[in-house]
This record gives sequence, C-alpha cells and structure tokens, in this order.
Amino acid sequence: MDSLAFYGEKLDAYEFENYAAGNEAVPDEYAVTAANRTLVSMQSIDEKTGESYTIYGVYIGDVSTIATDTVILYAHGQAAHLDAYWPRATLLASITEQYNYGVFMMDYRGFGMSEGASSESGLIEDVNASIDWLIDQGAAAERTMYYGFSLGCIPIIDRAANRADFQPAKVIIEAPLASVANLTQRSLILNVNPKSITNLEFENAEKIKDVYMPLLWLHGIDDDYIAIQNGELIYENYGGVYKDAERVVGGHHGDIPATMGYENYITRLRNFIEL
Amino acid sequence: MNRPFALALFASIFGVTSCAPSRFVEPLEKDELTVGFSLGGPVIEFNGPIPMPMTSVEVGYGLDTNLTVFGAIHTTAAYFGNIQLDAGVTYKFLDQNKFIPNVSISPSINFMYTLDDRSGKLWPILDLNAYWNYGNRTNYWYAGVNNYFELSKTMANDQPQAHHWIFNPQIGHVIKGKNDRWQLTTEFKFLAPYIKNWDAFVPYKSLTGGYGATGFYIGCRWKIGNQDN
Repeated sequence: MDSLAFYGEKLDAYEFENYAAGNEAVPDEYAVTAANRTLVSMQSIDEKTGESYTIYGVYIGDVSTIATDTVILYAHGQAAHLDAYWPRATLLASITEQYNYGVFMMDYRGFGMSEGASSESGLIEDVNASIDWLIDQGAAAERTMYYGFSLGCIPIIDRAANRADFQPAKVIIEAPLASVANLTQRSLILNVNPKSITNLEFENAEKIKDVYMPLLWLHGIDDDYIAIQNGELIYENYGGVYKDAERVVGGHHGDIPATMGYENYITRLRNFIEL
Repeated sequence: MNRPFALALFASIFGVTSCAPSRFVEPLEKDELTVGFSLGGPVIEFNGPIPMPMTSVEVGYGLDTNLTVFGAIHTTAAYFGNIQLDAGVTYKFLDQNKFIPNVSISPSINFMYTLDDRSGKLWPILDLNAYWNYGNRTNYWYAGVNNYFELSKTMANDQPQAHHWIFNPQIGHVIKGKNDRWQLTTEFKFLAPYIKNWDAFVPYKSLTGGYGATGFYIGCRWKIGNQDN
C-alpha cells in the first residue's frame, strides 16, 4: 500500500506555459515565458542502494544570477507534476517584480519525466539533490526560502530540520499533514498502531520541533483532505522563535491562492519573505 | 497525498476496526454451536456512498440457555498483516413480556497484534441490546448501543486521547431459517454520531451529517452442532 502514497503521473515531455491547466490556471498577468525558465536534470541517489535516478526540475529566473538572487525552492504536492504546478510557480515568480529572483521546483522520482519510483526517503533525497543543484549554482542559504505544499512539506521540513550545511532563511508550509499516525487516529478516534497499516511515518509534527528558522504556515480552514488540525499541530510544535499563520477562510486543499485572491496571496508571501 | 493512497489507507484502517456488527444479540440454546461470517463497514463516499467490504469469521457456542460465548477473527485485518480477534459472551438477563423486550449484554474484547511491529493492543467493548422476537421462527428486531473503550492516555504526536468512551447506537434485524438452521443479520451502526467527522482523513458518508459515520453490515451464521434444539 505504501507505494500508493507516491503515485505520480508520468510524462514524456514537459509543456510548462503551453500546458492546459484548466481550473488551476492563473491570470495571464502572471504568465512566465519560455525564455525565462530552464529545464534542469539532476542525479538523485538512493542512499540505501546507491542507485542513481535522473530527476527533473525547472528554474524560473536567471540561472547565471542565482548567487546573488533570492530563491524559493518549491516542493509540490502529490500525484501531479511540474506542468500541473507550473501556474503556482508563476505566482511565486511574481512575488516581487517578475524574475527579480528565482523559483526552483522539481519532480520527485516517478513524477513527470523523473526516473524511478518514489518513497518517503526518496522524497527527501530528491529535494536534497535539488538543494545540491542550487548550491552548485552558487545559491546562498541566507537568501533561499523553502516552500512545501502538502506532500512536499515532508521533504521540506526534513531538510530544514536535518540538513546542517544549508539552512534556508525561512520556511513556508502549506496544507501539511502532521503524521500518518495522526491521520489514522483522527479518522478512527481509537489509538490504532499506525504500523498495523503502513510503514510510512511522515512525521512532520515531530521534525518541525527541530526547525528554527522563521515559519509561515498556510492552511484552508475547510480543507477536507488534510484537515487544518494537522497544520495546527505542526504550528504548535514549531521549535523556533518566529512563526506566522494564515488560516484561510473557505480554503480547501490546493485552492489557497485562488481563495485568498492571487494578489493577497502574493502580498502575504512577500511580507513574510521581506521581514 | 492522493486518492489511491487515501482509499488504501482507509480500507486498511477499517480492516482493523469498525468492521463487524454485533456478534450475538440473542444467545444460542445450550450446547448449540454456530459458525458465520460478517461483511460490511462504515459507509464512505467513493463515486457514491458504499460500505467498506470488511470481513470477519465467527464462532459461537451456547454455554447455557441465556449465555453464549463467541469469538471471531478479522480476515481483512489479516490481509494487512495483523492478527485481530474479538471474543466475549452474550448474556440475556431480561425476558420478553408483552411490550417489554428481551435484553442482553455482551462484554467482549477486541485484540490486535501487529506482526511488523510485534506489538499488541486491546480494547474493551460492551454491547447492550433490546430485542423483540416475532413470528413462528422467532425472528427479531434489535436496538442497542455498542461501546468501545480506549485505554490509552495519549494518541499520535503526544496529543491527549480525545475520547476514551466511544458510543455507537445500532439497530438490526435477524431472520432465521427453517428450524433455525441459519440466521441472516442486517445491521446499521451509528459510529460515534456525536463526534465531528470534518477532520477525518476518511470521506465518511454519515446519516448524521458532519458527525460520526454510518456502518452497514450483513452477516450469516449456520448451526453445526446440537441442531435438534
């Protein structure tokens, strides 16, 4: 069953700005042209087997100025791929004037064009590979922001907590789950051992205790997939000094920018990043 | 997170709990032996409301006219690598008299052992049911409450255990075959109808709206011993 948690849609090629995003599309004013994005391939190593997988990412902005730019590393959610999350990336690229800084997001193993099949440790290894790529381009930790959405919060929180050589300036998490145990027991009411069901842990609520950089948490109050109680628990357990929360009235899973209003969403992120 | 994982997760979590109707509401006759199975679970939204098809196999034995001992193994839980058993007794302490129903009580335990983790857990259960026999075959309707008791002080991530007593009203009907050789049970169970279900990962479809879940179960049992009674 565990592998089902990492179901990802495969692609032969990315379309990015030409992708038909449907309801996820954002207004044209946030559009990013092909000239302003770079498709990146990286090697992600399975630390247990030593096997190497080619995974893909996309950088919006100027790769040659990463060393002096502010960068958002965005870890997307489940099932979809870089094309599906392209509209969200264009919003993040619009937080200040477009292209003044970069946005980097990657497809995990088994998602989009990336090779292999993902796992809980694989998510972390894939984000690690993305951090390594940023470091190789000269990115500065003090100007790097981590942003995780839903499933993407798992590697983002882990890396913010446990990767000592590259501590980001700030962390943003949107609609995180607290843990598999919390999902299970909140649904059952009873204290059932989660190991009776799955070997997955997704222990965001524990790992956040070791995150010390400023934190912004966004969650839809009406999220009927990962209930806001999950985020509340993570927010409460946060181990640092500065934290901020945006509980979005009427917000569901994945529709926070649209529910807040795109400009309000962008402004909220900008105010946090520029603190 | 995605829907396939969600479906597999709640299929498996219902494999370990909430997967059975009341075992015995009416005690067997003395020395009667039965075997049976049950099928059903909480109703969820999955391209329309459906009950989760959870299964268990049971055995019962009449220790006395008013006292039956029973046990069951949860076969769906076994599929997920867990040994889950329930066992208990049903005792009838009030006989039907005009408008006064029969009343029985069933203390039992639900025990689950997780092979991967080599750990076990036990929940005490107490059922109290009123039932009304009717007709030549003494079929019966029943209504009662199923009570689960959670003994743990904390739940995931060191949160205080929110509910130590979980109260589940239930109604059901039992049809008996010729000479009472078999019985067919249908039951609705209103699982925790006073607890909001909005923060559950599972898309419950509940007759009580945003509260609890509605379980639907069917079961069948056959008498394999002392069939002349």
